[in-house]
Amino acid sequence: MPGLENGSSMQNAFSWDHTQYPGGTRVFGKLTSYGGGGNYQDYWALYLLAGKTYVFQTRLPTAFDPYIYLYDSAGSYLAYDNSSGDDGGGMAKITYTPTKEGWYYIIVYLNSGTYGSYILESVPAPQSFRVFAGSTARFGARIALDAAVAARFEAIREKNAAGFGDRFSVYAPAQTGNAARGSARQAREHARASRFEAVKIATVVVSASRYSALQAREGRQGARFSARSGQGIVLPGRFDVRQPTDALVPARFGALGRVEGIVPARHNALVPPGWALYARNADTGEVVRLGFIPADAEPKQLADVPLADGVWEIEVRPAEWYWEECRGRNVLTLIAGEAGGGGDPLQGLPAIQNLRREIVSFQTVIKWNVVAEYEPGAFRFGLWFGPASPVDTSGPPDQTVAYAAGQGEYQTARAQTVPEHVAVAACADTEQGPAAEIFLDWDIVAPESPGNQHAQGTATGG
Amino acid sequence: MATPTADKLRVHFPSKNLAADGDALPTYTADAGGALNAIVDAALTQADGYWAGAVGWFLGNTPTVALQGQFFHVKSFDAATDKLTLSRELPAVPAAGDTFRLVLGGNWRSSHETFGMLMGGVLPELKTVSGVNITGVTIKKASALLGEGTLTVQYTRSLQILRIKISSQALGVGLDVSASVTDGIVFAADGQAFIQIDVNAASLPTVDRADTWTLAYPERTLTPDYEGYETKNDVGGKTRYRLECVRNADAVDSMVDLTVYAGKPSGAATTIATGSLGTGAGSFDVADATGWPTKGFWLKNKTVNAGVGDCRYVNYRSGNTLYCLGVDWATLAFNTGTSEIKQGDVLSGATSGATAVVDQVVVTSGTWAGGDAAGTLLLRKVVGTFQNAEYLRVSSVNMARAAGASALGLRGYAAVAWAAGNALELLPDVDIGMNKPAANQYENPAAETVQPANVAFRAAWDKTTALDLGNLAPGKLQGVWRREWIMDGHQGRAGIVADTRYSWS
Repeated sequence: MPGLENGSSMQNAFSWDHTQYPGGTRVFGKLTSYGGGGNYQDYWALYLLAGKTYVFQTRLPTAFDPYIYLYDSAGSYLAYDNSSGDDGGGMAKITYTPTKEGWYYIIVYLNSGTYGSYILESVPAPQSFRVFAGSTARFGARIALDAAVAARFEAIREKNAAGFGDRFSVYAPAQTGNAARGSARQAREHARASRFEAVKIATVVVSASRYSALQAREGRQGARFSARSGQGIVLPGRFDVRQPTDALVPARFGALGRVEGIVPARHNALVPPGWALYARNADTGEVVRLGFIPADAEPKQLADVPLADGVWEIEVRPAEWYWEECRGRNVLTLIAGEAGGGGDPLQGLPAIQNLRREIVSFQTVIKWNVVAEYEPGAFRFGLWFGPASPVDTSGPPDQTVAYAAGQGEYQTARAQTVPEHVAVAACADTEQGPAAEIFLDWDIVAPESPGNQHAQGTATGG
Repeated sequence: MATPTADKLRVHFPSKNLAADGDALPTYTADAGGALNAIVDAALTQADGYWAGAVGWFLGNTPTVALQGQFFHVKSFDAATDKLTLSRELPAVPAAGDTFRLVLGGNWRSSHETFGMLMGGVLPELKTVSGVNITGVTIKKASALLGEGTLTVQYTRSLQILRIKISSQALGVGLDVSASVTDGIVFAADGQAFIQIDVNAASLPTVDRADTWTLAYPERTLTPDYEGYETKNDVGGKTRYRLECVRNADAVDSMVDLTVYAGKPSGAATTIATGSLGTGAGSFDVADATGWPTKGFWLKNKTVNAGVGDCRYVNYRSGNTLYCLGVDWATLAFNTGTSEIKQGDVLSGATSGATAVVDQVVVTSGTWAGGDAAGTLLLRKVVGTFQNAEYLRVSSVNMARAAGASALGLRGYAAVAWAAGNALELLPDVDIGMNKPAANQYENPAAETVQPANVAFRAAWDKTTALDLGNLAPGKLQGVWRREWIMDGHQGRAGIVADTRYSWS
């Protein structure tokens, strides 16, 4: 049975003795009583590595039917078994893979039968600190581990000290009398003292400059105080565990929309009732606004309106007209200047509107419009044809169409055999209105459809 | 601190002839001698032209039935004959004893609120509106938030509550009418639109009942029409100014972050597809003008002037092709003013030969009498460009000097060229500007066509461009002026929406 522990609790758990069995995989223990008051269970401390799978079990010949229990360093239960051992015979077995490196505890418990010896196996063997003791490079890590569980290191130290007689007989045996079964508390205290001696020994070995006894003692004192401070640091860690469960901040609310209000303000934009008069120069296309005649004006006329010499279409637009491209039907053509008679009262003939050609039964039909309300109607429409534009309209027309009062649209057929131009104008015996002209295409070959068809936009005059 | 409910924002008419905040609008009584387009009242003792541009209405109980609740727009006022000439004919000749009210300008808030919705063709503020089924209920106001549609008022006898709904929407929260109520507010399901009612509990039906009305927006109750003599005046157009007085009627809570913007024509934003536009009249094509008005509307270019934008008046639209009027309005800074330049003066530049008609004169420093008046002119019918430092003349008399070149622009924007790809959106027909009253008194311009002092106008048409009026404490006042910009050649258009929409937290 190793060390000074008595195996009665986690604090006095036996350290794993790697010397008892090849590979350090087995230790040998003995329960000395059954029931309360005796040694009916043993605690074993094993330092296990994270991610490594360990198989713990009791082996025959164990004198009784055992239970084994596995706990972590905080004393939390992890696993138990009493009958799964590889040797049968009621042997117990636990397979476990730690997620965290550290100390774990196995309890060997007498379930039935008589007390006596037992064999506890760990495959692989738990971590051995004998190796570390000879490695100064890893010594610092070992201090931290020892500080967490003081009692176990003392046991290791005891074994180490076996080879260093001058350091063995210090205090522990003398104070406790029975080191193995003495006060657990005292054992731990002494363990600390002995442990740091061991630390200092190791330090001295690798650092020649610290070899003097004085330096060694000073170093021991300092190291012990550091260990106590380290224990104190454990407290804040436990506090953190409580914090999440305590933290609850209720925060409930609704999102409300903005309040709104409307002030209705609806109205209309009106225009004055009446007529605007526009003049359009038939040659240049220039449009001049002559003025506005309010609906309530008497007489409804514009007087003394200046106009440059030329041929003008006079158009009357109602006040509500807004689209410039909308051409009024109430159009008069006035000839201002010498062409109109040199100051004599102007006479108007209607402008030709919408001159166009349609094909009806393979024959050209020429169509046009004039203002239907035009009065008086003492005129006719003349049509002149020619191979080139502009068509000569100085002679008598090739065809005439009579004007009918109140009729706005006119048409006439043309027996066409070749491409040609046509000019149309209103004419009376003594005057002639502005001519409109379009090109009349003609071909004996029918056009392809529809790729090369497009409108012929040729038009002149009004 | 709670948010004041929608019924707490009350908008009042002002009038320039009041003497203190909250005064009632005088009730005038017509004399004999009126006509279809004229009202005569010897009690109108103001000077010539004082009431030009005023909005008026006959009271709901005026003796001539055909005039009850009729609104009118004053074209001119003749002091000698005490005659108001109206912009259009009334449905009947005002008789002696007919009563009416007039609203014009700023100055003081009246006790009379602006009007809400028409209920079955009647304004409940002017004539009593009661249902045929729910006896004991008188409706006094229908908020414009209700919108157009069918208003249903429902009375549930077992619960003794009144609820309302619009068209197929859900019913709102009920008003407890187990006892009589005066000026009770019944909210629709949105908790904002409301009606204001009086209830005589003893006259309520003994069973469940409901009444319905058709709601419609009233016209010309706040903004009069742009009359024909205004849209074609051959002097370059005009600007008109109108005030609405806003009051937080809540006794305890402030309205936080009160904002306001004006309605605008419907139509989505788009871009210029092809073509360009200078400062003269011209046309271009947009990508998509579906749903836009066909004529007479305002358009903003959001791209130019480094994102500040520019605007044009669209004379008419043909499909996606827009035809805009040229920009013939300009601003011109002046100084060393020695003779007063007045609205309507024909101004000319002594050196440049540029000409314009004066629309607004804003003096920011100095005085005419002192020979150092300086400020800004808003000009219309501008021909040419006024040059810096040249003399500005009226009838060949030097009045002041230009303090910079004239800058073309409409509604506060600097006119620049537009190009393909520029982003466009529709603008409201009116601009708005804030006027926080000093000791409850608002600005008081001399006439409808004179811009109120210290009010900056701009277009505001949605929540992002809204005018921020700040916080409005309980019982406090704020003011919003409208600027109505009428072009010479302004197109006729019906049903212009210039509602102001307020919101607060």
